[in-house]
Amino acid sequence: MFVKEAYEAARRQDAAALEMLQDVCSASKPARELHGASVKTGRSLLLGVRNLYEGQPPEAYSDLLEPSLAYHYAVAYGMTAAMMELPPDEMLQTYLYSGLASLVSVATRIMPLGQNESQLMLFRLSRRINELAIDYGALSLADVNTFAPGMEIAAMEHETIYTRLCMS
Amino acid sequence: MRGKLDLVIAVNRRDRSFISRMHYLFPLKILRPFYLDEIGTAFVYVLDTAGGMLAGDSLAYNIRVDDGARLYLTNASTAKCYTMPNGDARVAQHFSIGSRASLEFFPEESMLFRDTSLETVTRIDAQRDSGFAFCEMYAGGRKHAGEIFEFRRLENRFEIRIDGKLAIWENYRLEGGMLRPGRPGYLEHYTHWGNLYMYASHESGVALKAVQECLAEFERDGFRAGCSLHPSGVITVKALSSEYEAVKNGFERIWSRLRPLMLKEELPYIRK
Repeated sequence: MFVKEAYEAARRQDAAALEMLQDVCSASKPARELHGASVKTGRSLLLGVRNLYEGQPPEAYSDLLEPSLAYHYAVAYGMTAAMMELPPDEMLQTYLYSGLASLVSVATRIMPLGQNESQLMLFRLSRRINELAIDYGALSLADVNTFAPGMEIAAMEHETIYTRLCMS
Repeated sequence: MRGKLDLVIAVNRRDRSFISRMHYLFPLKILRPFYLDEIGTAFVYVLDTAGGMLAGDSLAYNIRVDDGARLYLTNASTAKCYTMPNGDARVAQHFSIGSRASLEFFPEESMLFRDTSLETVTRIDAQRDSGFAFCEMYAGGRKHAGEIFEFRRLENRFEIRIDGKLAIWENYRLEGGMLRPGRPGYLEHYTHWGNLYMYASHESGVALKAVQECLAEFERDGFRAGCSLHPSGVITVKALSSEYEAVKNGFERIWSRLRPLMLKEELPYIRK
């Protein structure tokens, strides 16, 4: 939902809507590590895109970007897709694929899962993305589900554990 | 039934908080405030004389704590959402906390009966220099009657704003069947969940450390909780358990540890 809303806000050059999305995304992440990881990966994505454009994003979008590039990942992804003029369905599929790739990468580090198996797993899961029926037009912020107490508690516990394998 | 409670708390020249305006409609009712601490906090009990909610019922709370005033608000018993095969019940809560004012909101849990449908909307507007502790707790059903996660729907929209800026935002719509035991990331194998949000303009780092120490001392069997400090300064504690008392006692212990840090006063015994 954040990706879609950011994509559309960027396409219509709506800086106020992007700021609102950034605020809502920030407020939906009470666990510090989930919040920090989202901003770090969002910034990294925008830095990478800026490098693609040799430090100068398309003129229409340069005014939308905060100099710090400190955007949450979902917001940054929607803005990037707008900059690159991806069609909406391709944007959603690549976003979901990048999330899957990230999860599989973490799984490879924290459980006995080899490189070959992880590639196979990613391949099989990515085929499922194509089968998902996503009603792009119907997605809105009202559909965001922030309910994941088990995951949030795990992220909160991760702040103070001695051995840390992942950023969050 | 359309229950309503409008309440305004002000402070007098002796730093004692009092009810400056109130208006309530059946089934909601409040008792005269008690004074249990040395900082003049008004301890107010809300009574729901209907005992629970049915389809079409709504409760609307509009609570304002004026500049410098202090309010501790609780209720007497579990908020029951009875079986309602059709329709739904609604709770709307708006809390406004003034400058140098404090709000402590510790209601009993909400119990979601089989086939019930509940929609809650909560908004807290605080100032940069105000303080609050806000708790909400839910039970997934009457488990002693063999009823777990059989509610039809729970929709919850929750936001905290500090100086008008959005600080915390929760938004979800659950169906009982989504919470089947063992589902990772959700309730796992627990049946009760709760959130505790705490804020004071100072001492947030020290307060977080105190909560972490407090959680480390807890008996871990049957209770799982984590805490974190959001960039807005709000400390969030999330807890899971299979026993209501574990969540309730956990939150009380945490707040009794933090109240002296955040409000500069011990938490008194709250009689129920």
